[in-house]
Amino acid sequence: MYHLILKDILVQKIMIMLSFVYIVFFYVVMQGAGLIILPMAITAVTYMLVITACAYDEKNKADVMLNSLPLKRLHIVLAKYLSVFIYLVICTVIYMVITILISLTGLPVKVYPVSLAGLAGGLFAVSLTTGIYFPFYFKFGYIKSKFLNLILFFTLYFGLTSSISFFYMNRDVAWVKNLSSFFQRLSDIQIFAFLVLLTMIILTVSFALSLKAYQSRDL
Amino acid sequence: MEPILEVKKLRKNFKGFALKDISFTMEKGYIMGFIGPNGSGKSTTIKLILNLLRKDGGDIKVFGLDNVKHEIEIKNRIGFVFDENHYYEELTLAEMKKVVAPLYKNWDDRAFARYMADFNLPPHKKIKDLSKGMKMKYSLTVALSHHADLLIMDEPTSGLDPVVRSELLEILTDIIQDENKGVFLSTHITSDLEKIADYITFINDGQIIFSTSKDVLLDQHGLVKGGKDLLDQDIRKSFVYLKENEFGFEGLVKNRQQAKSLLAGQALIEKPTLEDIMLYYTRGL
Repeated sequence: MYHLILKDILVQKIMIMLSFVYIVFFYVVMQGAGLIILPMAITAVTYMLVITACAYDEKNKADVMLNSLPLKRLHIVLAKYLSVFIYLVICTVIYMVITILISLTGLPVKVYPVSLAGLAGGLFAVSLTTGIYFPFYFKFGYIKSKFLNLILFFTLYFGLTSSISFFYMNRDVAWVKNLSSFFQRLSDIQIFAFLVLLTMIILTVSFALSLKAYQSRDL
Repeated sequence: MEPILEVKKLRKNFKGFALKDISFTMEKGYIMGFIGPNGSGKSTTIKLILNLLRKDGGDIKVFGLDNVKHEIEIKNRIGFVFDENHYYEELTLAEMKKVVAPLYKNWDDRAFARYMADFNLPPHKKIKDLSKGMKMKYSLTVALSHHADLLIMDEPTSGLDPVVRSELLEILTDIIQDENKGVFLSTHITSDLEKIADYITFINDGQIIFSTSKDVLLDQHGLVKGGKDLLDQDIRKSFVYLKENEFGFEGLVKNRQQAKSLLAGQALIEKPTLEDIMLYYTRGL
């Protein structure tokens, strides 16, 4: 299974190197966004790497080859889910390196170091998007899931910003007040734990759906 | 002795096409050619054997084991070569090996190095930069480097030049010197099979028309050519298919000896090629 993840990394070596450029781009362009740069950047780039790996699988009709090897379909699905965390780590490391480089060179760019809250946000957003994407990918393949891809990407960006502004506009409405005071009462660790729990639930359900779809699929 | 491959009443339904309860058996130590026109069900059968498709009925046993229940064990002992290369074009041969090798229980690095050298394969070239012949040789290298007992090949010779094709046939003949191995290969280039196959299984429109020894097949059938005046009701019945024009007829009979005794001296009776047999059977059905 580890070798399937290695394969996903090897096929997109160039893409991973380009991630460096993408994250620099995020850093510079999203300066106004402040603390949200970290989760935004790692979510977007991780998601991009996940999708690219899936695209290469489809382009090479790899399902036929992989399933002719002594592998269970379970392994193939599991490897894809685990690869998400590997990309997340890669992106976080790249982000850290960029942050250090910016501080060292004294460029006129404000730095936002890696924070626990930022990481938790990134982890949650990545799990949510890939968690929705994978079951469709394993059921229909890359080409047919492409449409969904677009929707997910836009939902992530516009949905996130518009829901933030929605909560801001309605900050005096009772249930929004209750919700925000509930979260304010929680400590960072509690929020982190809450997000991790939610992430685990999403991924477990998503994994079960993906596995069921892939195991009954004709290749 | 347990057959190396056994397919029993295998059924698979698609929209507009179905594999209809097909059965055949292959013993170890032989090469079986799997022939049939395009769309007759060759690839479907191979994909079912490899558990890439879910069957709707029947049984498939490889090395005497159920192909779904013992999937991993079986696949450790199977080598596959497909018409299209399904390896990752973006990887080099060495990188691809790094991914595939650890998955096999019996991977032999020395065998891999030997075949790479024998076939003149450049380890640091990307798969997409290889010719079609080299891609096939690479697939074969991977298939042979884990000492597969059964080679399953789907149209391995299609699109290859005659030199590479005959090289492949020589390699297959070599492999089969080991009596515990078997080769199951689908093709529509029947002349290749004439050289190497021991058994021929013929599929048409999702049904097995025959599965028998190649020599028996070629010895029994007869290609008959003659004038139209020879054809009466009884004689017509003995043909699998008959082509007629204003000058005469040409047709395939199942029993060459019988045709010889009936038409001795009046018609030309020859040994058919596999291609003749496939063509006449396809038309006659």
